[in-house]
Amino acid sequence: MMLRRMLLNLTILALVSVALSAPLAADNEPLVVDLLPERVEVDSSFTGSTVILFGVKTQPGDIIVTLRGPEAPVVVRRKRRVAGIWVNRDSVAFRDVPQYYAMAASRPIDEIMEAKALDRNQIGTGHILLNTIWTRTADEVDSFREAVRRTRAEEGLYAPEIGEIVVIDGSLFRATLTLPANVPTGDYVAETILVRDSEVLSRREVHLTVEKSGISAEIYNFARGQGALYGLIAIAAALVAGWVGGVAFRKN
Amino acid sequence: MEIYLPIAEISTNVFLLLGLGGAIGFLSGMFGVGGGFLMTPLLIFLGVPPTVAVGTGTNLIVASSVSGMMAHWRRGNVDFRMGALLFSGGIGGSWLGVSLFKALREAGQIDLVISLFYVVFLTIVGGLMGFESVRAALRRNARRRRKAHQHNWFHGLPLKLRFRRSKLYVSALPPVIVGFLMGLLAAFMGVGGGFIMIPVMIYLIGMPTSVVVGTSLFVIVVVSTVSSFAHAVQNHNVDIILALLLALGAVIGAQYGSRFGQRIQGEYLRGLLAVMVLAVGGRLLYGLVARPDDLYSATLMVMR
Repeated sequence: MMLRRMLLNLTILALVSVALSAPLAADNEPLVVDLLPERVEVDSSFTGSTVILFGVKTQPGDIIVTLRGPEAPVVVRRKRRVAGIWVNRDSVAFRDVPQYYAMAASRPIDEIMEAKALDRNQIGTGHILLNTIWTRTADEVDSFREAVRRTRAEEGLYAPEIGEIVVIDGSLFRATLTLPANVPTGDYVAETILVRDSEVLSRREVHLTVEKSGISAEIYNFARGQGALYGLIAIAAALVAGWVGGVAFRKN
Repeated sequence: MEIYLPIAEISTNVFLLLGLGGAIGFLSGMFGVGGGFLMTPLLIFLGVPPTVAVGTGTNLIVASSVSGMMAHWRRGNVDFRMGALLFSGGIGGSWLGVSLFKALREAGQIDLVISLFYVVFLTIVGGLMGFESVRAALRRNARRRRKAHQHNWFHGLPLKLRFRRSKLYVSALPPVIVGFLMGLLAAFMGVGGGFIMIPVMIYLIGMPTSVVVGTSLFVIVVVSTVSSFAHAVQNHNVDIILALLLALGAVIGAQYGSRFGQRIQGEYLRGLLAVMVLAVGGRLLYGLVARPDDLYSATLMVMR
């Protein structure tokens, strides 16, 4: 762990010095960013991780970083009491819901951007666009939208607080984002924007992949991809386990 | 020692799982019941998703029934002809059950249906066991003698077949229908269904008790195998690591359970088991009746 962190710091130093020693390239680009690591492996001992986004800006302005992903359709159901039992009745399905969302900003967010601009740029969990696929309720869809955010937040997947962005010498910046232990696997997008007077001056996207690794990931993927073969192996294992167990104890 | 269960997608303590398997195995060895009907709800209480608890349960039943079946087979206590009729119905029932299970999962109702099934069956089984144990305790000395089997309405049904091992000449329809229902239960609850099949075999079909347990184990192995396979293919909810850990515990527990059971007067323990079964059923019922903390739940849409 120590070693990994040291390596990470060294790499950052190296990359930052590359960015600084290339002022010509930076002159054309108002924003240069990179992410470390670009790939996170989740194995059975995974207890969470951090990714560090760092970059250089060549124009004055504030920086906002969002990390979101993987997007998938989500069904929100609401229980109603039917004959004394709580039953899922109403439901609304939403398109492309990010399973994870975190952000960081160089100043308090409301000082950087006004609410309309936050909506337009989908910045902050309250401003994520949630379009419905279908609606099976007579009630307000907004309560279901709210439930998406609440349940994700309760699982620790929508970060409750806006992270800090450290800016050095007015141009070099660094944001640290936390991935919790239950981080979903898939593709993530880290978007960095340079903002002045609520206007986005520049925008950069970098990608992050979170994958399962290790034996449990292989079992999971095998069970999904080769259901029939997996089923046969599981049955064979059960037969052998039961049979061996029986034989072992009969001898005693 | 924590272990990550790849399909259930939770981390649990290895010894907790071995202990749970052992406890269920002990009970099943002592009382001669499968124990699946306690295993699935306990796994749900542990935080295993209900669908995975059921799918894994079907696999576990295979492991915990096979050695008993082989022992009965060696002694010639399996009526294969009757068994074949039962499991031919059972295979149909379990495949249909797993397909229904999938449809309910997509409709977001499967957790509710699993709980409801369990509340109903645990109440029936617990109630009957409690009733039996009280009655047995009351008239321990009053023994009644039973006929080989009685003739009832059921012996007038068509499609009669001769069953040499069971010394019977009865219709083929009831075993197929009973097997079908068993298959449904196996698919929905992850249980073997012995607690339903055995009374039917004895009281309704009139099979001699000597072949009842062996034949029912034979059918349970076949039907659970089919259910487990169908779940693995259609619902991807069989956790092989979870099943093997529980099976290991159960195999060991069953050995001690059966030795312990032979030495002890059954009525009071049976009464205790009845109380446990009712308590588990009550806990599940409470989960259905109590107002949930959050009425809303969000899940990823199931992809076809």
